[in-house]
Amino acid sequence: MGFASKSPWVIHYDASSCNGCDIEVLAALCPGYDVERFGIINTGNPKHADIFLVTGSVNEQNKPVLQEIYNQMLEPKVVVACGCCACTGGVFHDCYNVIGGVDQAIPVDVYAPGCAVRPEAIIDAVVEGLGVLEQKAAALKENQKKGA
Amino acid sequence: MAHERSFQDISLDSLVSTAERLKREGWRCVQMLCVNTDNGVDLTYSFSKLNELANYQVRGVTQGTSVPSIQNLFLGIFPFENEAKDLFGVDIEGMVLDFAGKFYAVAEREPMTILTPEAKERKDKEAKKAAAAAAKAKQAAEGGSAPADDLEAKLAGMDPEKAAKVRAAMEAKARKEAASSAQSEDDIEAKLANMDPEKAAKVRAALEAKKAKEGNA
Amino acid sequence: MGQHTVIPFGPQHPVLPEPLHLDLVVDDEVVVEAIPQIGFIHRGLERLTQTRDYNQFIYIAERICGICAFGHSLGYAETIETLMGVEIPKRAEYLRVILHELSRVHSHLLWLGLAADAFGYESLFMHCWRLRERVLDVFEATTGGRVILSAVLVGGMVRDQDAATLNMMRETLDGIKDEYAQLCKAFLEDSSVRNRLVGVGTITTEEALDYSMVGPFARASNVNNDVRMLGKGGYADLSDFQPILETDGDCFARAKVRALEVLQSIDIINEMVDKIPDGPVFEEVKGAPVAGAQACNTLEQPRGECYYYALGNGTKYLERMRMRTPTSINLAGMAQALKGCDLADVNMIVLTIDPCISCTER
Repeated sequence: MGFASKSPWVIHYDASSCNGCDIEVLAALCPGYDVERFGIINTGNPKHADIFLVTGSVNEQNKPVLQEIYNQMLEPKVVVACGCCACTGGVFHDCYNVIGGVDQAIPVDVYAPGCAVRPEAIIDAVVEGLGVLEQKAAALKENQKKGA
Repeated sequence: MAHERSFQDISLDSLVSTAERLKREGWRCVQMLCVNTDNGVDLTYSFSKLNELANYQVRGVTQGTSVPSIQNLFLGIFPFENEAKDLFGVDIEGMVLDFAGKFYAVAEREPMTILTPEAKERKDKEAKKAAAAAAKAKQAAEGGSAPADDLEAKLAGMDPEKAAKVRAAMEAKARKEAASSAQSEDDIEAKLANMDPEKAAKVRAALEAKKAKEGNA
Repeated sequence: MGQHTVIPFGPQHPVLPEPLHLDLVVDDEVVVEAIPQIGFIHRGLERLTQTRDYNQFIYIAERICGICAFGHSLGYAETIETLMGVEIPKRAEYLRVILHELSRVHSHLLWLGLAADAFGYESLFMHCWRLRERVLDVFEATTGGRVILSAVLVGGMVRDQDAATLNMMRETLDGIKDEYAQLCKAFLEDSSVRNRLVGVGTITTEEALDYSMVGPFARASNVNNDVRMLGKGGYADLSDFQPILETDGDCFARAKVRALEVLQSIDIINEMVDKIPDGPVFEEVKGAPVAGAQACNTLEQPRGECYYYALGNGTKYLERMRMRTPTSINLAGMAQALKGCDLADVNMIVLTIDPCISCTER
């Protein structure tokens, strides 16, 4: 197990969510579900974060913000789309100002469905994301060896 | 004590004077909304005081007509005036906080004035239905009535291509029915002629009984 | 001095769960002006009335905002019921009030937690959210959802609640009262909280009226605009209702109004559970709104008065549905409250209006 997956730090951005998924992301971090006891800490700084939790769908105005945060995060990094809107656009898929799911703007590694997404589903998705993070870290190491 | 809600039409010219009067009388601004219609955009301004909720409506603001802003009186209204500009293309003049069409920064220009294909289809259908119903009412008033009226009214509501297909299909069906009923009677007679007379008599009796029964039913 | 700098604040900001962008014009450390900029989560769901009929649209309405989800489905249903001139069963009206007040408890606890987080009182934040989980458990037991409840239909409620469930609801609320009293003590008496909140971001009564502010934001400046008793539904049957008002108009007064409203809501729920009549909870609404018929409605949501407007066109699809949410009318007041504050207080003041951006932009 790599260092990052033992205590992954998460960053959360609300693309155009209805808040339902946002408060569930926070609820997962707070007493009741309390993933902080596993060392999963919410940070506001993209450069500190390993896992990017995105809620809500993408539109023209928030697409660059999303990409900016993603680009600022350092490798290895994992993106988790939380909720139906982040996965596909959900109930708002045919709104005029909705492009679609988060994968329309940045690559997504794990999809957590639900409207609103349940904290259990978020925790599951983050645990799955840790596997991806591990793989990415290993691949990165391999590349560095080759480069050296 | 329940809310007393009222709707009242005002002219565009009296908008500012109405707002000034309401401000003096201590009303607070609740909101402003737009409705896109065939004759331009309808604006509704709502104000509230104690248990009264009054809606003032300015009808049919067309493209190119500028609407005076009331932000200098009620600054709280600024999100809605900017929204009217962004989403409905209403030209609001003299805003204190003017985002110049960049409040929502939507991908589509004036999206609330555009009908989705589904809505357009439904609207056309409704219009045709209404026209057909009016025509029928007119015909009924004149005394003449055709049995196919109902169907015609329905067909009028459909899109023309589909209606033509339905019409063609119905005509074909009618032709086929007429041909087949004539043919089937001939067939039976030919079959009966080949049978032994006793059996044929029984079959004929049965057929007649069946016909009589059908007639009763 | 005299040199003005513009500092962008948001949309991604550690204190904001939601994307709100402010251009802060600062003179040294003091904010001279704040210009709000939104549009990051505008979806354009008002146009969805063209593709969803009035029964389907309630699911869109409650997804305007996940925190006030129940309030929006309730406000929408009441507006359509007014538009079509239907009365709903009394028991359904009571159940609606009970669940709406319960949403207020959950929303205010959420806000108190976020406020504590904003002034750096992490353990208070966690305790607020711990109590909130107990309220969410009640939601889950009664409707199956934690956040989006889907409990309201045009014409009544999706399902009835039996006496045992209503009792459980009351017992849960009684159970959290003691712990909540301790939280209140921390909020209202702790000197570190007072140091951060008293005298910060003051709004006078005149300003509150001038900017047409709504909700606890205005009630903290002694403006009574609680429309609970003015709207439709079971509120009219309450024996006594006095809106909670404060006179100071600062961040502390706003926190106090919300803290006390939680207790008020618990009292309302208890009274409603005692009084609830028997009977059906749903009556199917048939037909479609008449062409040109219009109705407006107001509802006191956790964040303040929400205005709904509906216009029919003779079909099952509405011609126009409009929701004016509390935060959108409070933006001007927020910009005013920010004038003259310290840069370090900006997040605190923004939070005390309880901004709900996804409501605002829809």
